[in-house]
Amino acid sequence: MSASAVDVAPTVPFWRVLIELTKPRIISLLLVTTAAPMYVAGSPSWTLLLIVMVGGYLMAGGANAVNMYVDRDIDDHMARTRLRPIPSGRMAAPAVLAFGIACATAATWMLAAFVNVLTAALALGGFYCYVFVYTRWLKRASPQNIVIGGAAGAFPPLVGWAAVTGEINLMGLLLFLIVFYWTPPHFWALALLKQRDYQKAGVPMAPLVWGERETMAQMRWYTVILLALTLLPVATGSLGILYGASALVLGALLLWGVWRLTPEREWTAPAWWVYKYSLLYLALLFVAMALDERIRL
Amino acid sequence: MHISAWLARAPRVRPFPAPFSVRFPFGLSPALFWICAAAALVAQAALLRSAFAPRSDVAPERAVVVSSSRFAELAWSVLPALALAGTFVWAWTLMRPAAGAS
Repeated sequence: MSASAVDVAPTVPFWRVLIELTKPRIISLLLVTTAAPMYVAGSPSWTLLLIVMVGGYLMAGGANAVNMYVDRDIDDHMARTRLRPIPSGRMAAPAVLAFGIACATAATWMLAAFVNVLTAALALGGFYCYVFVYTRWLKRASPQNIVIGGAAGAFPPLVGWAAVTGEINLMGLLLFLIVFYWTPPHFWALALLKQRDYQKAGVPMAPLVWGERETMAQMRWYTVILLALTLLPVATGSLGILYGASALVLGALLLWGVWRLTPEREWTAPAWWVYKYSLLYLALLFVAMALDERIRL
Repeated sequence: MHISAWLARAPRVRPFPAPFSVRFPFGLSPALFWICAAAALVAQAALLRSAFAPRSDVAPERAVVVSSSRFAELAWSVLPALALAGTFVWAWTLMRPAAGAS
């Protein structure tokens, strides 16, 4: 535990520590990618939307808390995670684990009882994928941790889709793949910037295994596939011109940002740009999907 | 009314694929599909090439050890490629009847 972390620890009220365990800023994007597909799939009631949002928040929050429990040994080594509740001494590790499991259990019950079993199973699948496949297994073993572990973050669109339709079809799979292929360029931009942190913690992020050049090249290829996938619903007739134009413009901007990354030039500012813009990109893309269903051109 | 029954009646689900008349001009849809498929194919091939012939320019003192097996690393690269290919094939099988009709 770092001295600076302990100094700031006692000032935060307990309820805020619990909220902090759920990583609310990350979840806000997950909720956008859950809600928008519900409006692409049909016309959900406000009650259904609310239940899926609360259930989704609890499931993702539970996964984030369990992630903090599992990663408690390395969080203290990284500046980015040193102030989290466990390394800063604000909450005991077993209590964090119990909180995470309780959140996930409540979410499973809520989604199964009030939405449908498929939705609950998919949300729980996302939880297991994040906790076991990403955090426990791949994060410390493989540079593909972000690629395969990124599947966990791709479950929310499936959850939203299944909540309305009660099934998974091509559009549901497309939404899953869009988030899946968005994840590497987004997180590798951060990994490029935080290499020293990851090196200290011994996490084999792509830039520390393949190097900056190869990571940047792969970010470009993933973004090309992402752009192709986002235009596929337009080709199949699932989404219309408004969405298509948005996907093209937003995607072209992301591709431009990723293409600027090269080890030959100063890349810190472009990497920050890609990291931040990719967050906005995903949110706007999913909002455009939902709007496309309401405003047909 | 029981809350489950109340929720169950709420969503109105849209058919899939949606009616083409209100969508992208259908004559252009196959062209868009094949542009997307070609772009995805080239990019995925480049990613697979990197997986099968890995390159690294990390200085040994900076490199972090990878503990997963070579087979696992290849599997993690091939699995998304298979999912991607399956998605494009599935999309085309849904589009083909409508493309033929037009």
